[in-house]
Amino acid sequence: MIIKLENISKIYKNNSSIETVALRNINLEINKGEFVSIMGPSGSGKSTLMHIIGLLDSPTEGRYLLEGNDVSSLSEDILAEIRNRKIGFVFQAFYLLSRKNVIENVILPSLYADYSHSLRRQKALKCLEAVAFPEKFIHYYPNQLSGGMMQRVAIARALMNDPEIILADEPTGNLDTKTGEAVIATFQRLNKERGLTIIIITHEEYIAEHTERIILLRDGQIIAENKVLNSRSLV
Amino acid sequence: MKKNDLLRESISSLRSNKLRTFLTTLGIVIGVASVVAMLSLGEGSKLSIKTSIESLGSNNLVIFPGVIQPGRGFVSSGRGTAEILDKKDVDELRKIDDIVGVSPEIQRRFQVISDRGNNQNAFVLGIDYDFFMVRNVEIDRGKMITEENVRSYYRGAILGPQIAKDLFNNVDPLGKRIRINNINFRIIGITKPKGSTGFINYDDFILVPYTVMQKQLAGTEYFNAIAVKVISQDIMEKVRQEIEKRLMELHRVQEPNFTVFSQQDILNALTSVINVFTIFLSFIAGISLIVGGIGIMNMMLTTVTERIKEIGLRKSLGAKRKDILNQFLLESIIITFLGGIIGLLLGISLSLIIGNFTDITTVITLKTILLPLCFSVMVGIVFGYYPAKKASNFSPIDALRYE
Ligand SMILES: Nc1ncnc2c1ncn2[C@@H]1O[C@H](COP(=O)(O)OP(=O)(O)O)[C@@H](O)[C@H]1O
Ligand SMILES: [Mg+2]
Repeated sequence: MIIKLENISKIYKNNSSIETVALRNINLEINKGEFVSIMGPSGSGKSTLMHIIGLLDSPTEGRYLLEGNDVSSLSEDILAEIRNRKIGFVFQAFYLLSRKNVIENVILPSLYADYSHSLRRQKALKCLEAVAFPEKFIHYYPNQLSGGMMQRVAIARALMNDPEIILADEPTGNLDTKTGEAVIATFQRLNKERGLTIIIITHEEYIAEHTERIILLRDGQIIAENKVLNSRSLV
Repeated sequence: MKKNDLLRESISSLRSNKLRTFLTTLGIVIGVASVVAMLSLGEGSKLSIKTSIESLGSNNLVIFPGVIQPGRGFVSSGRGTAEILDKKDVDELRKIDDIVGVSPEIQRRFQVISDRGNNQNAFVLGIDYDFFMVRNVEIDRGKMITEENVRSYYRGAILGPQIAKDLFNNVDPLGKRIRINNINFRIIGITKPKGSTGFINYDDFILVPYTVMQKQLAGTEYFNAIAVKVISQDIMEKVRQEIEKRLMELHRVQEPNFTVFSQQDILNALTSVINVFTIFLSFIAGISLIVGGIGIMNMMLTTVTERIKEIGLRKSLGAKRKDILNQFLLESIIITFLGGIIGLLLGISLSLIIGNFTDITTVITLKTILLPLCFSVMVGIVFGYYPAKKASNFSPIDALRYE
């Protein structure tokens, strides 16, 4: 078991001390190599859950075991280090740096890890290959690429430091159906071929159908968990 | 994060907004250039004072009548200040072994007319034969004033090159006559140009035997000053004490009613005045550097707000607080360092131009280079720290969610 959440709650307080309960008593276990999707209406707490799993935020209550170790109360710098080595993020808005070209964007996570200079480039090229990014575009800048291409670059960046887990927050939200499916196919392949644990948040039924398990959130609580019996393979 | 990666990241973000970087750097360039120029002016004036005082003779002591009291300047004790040093003092000083020359001097201004009709109000200095040796004044043409000239009240005059020119235009004055205060003098020599030495310019002086000055021109038997040359610079202090002891005995006083100055005293006094002046000017120039620093802070705060998503992204990819802090801090340090170097070159060029095209001396020393450069990098650290700290403190999700 790679991720284990025990009674996790997240409460936001704004400055007039009105409380928003974003997550309420979440208990969740995810195994190594699983391909999971989290669904739910807007504001149901999906992103908050992903931020906690991704160590970008800490829960107000509860315990989080990552690979069996309690990470609920580690310092910011240690969390940064764990994120750097173990977790790859993919965001809806891609978040590529516009002043860097494709390969430089992919290299970014390795700047915060111990990498030799020459190894970095080779690795970045491999990651781009893994997401089927066309080699002729590797010196392009993000604003010269289509949305689908940008998301491929973002996935390659997430792979750069050989993470255990990939967390994707609505990775297809800005893409048309066809391009979205291609991105999901990429995730499927990475899951099958490398045994990566992948968690994607999505609105769309057809995206979730490609995963192995669907977790349904509403008002900060898990209201259903479904195994997808015959998940549609795109690979 | 590796140092060269850090540097590359900072440079790349500075390059992404070239105009803003350029304008901010310009603020630093101007600040550093003006500090460098001010410091080199200050060092230059110190040097020119030093050389001119040394050209007066670095192992000279000068005895003035009266005493200096702190805050009150020269103060006479009892009788008129001017009436203290006379021939007896000169004879007493000649008895001291370590003194190799004694030059009593009386200075007045008189109306001087040349036989060509040129009229000047000029400095006339009554001197003894030792004057030339003690004051390092050399004769260009003609003769010096001798012991015999002094004893026999010889009415011969030696002109400085400037006054010679003023009185005789381009005619050779040697052997000609001038009238000082309506008394005829024959010109027996011209001194070599010495240039201004800060307060005295011997080029403007007319030298006559002091006996003539005393009896026929000034009507006094007292001197304005007695300069002595000491055999070596190491024993200046010892000789000064010897002079004070002997002259006090001679004057029958318990406290000296005269003051013994060394060239070093004068140099120190002037240097400290120039130091204060230089610090003041550099301080004014430094303010422009501070203003440049505020420009950096302004730019960095804008940058941080603009790049909040980048900060969030970097943090989610594993950047630690320190990595973000260093990246943004380094950006302002690069600006101040770069601006410092360019400002330095500009300031040096400026001071070379001033030095070459005006009479003002400028000197570039290691201090005039390192001080502004260090100061400017310090400005970068001080004014860049707050924005960088602010950047490093964003939590990754707040930064990513920021709209
Ligand atoms: N930083 C925050 N401060 C206050 N409330 C927040 C904050 N982040 C999220 N929330 C609230 O928490 C709830 C869950 O948000 P989120 O996890 O983004 O939902 P989802 O991703 O499912 O749309 C929402 O009601 C949202 O308004
Ligand atoms: Mg969301």
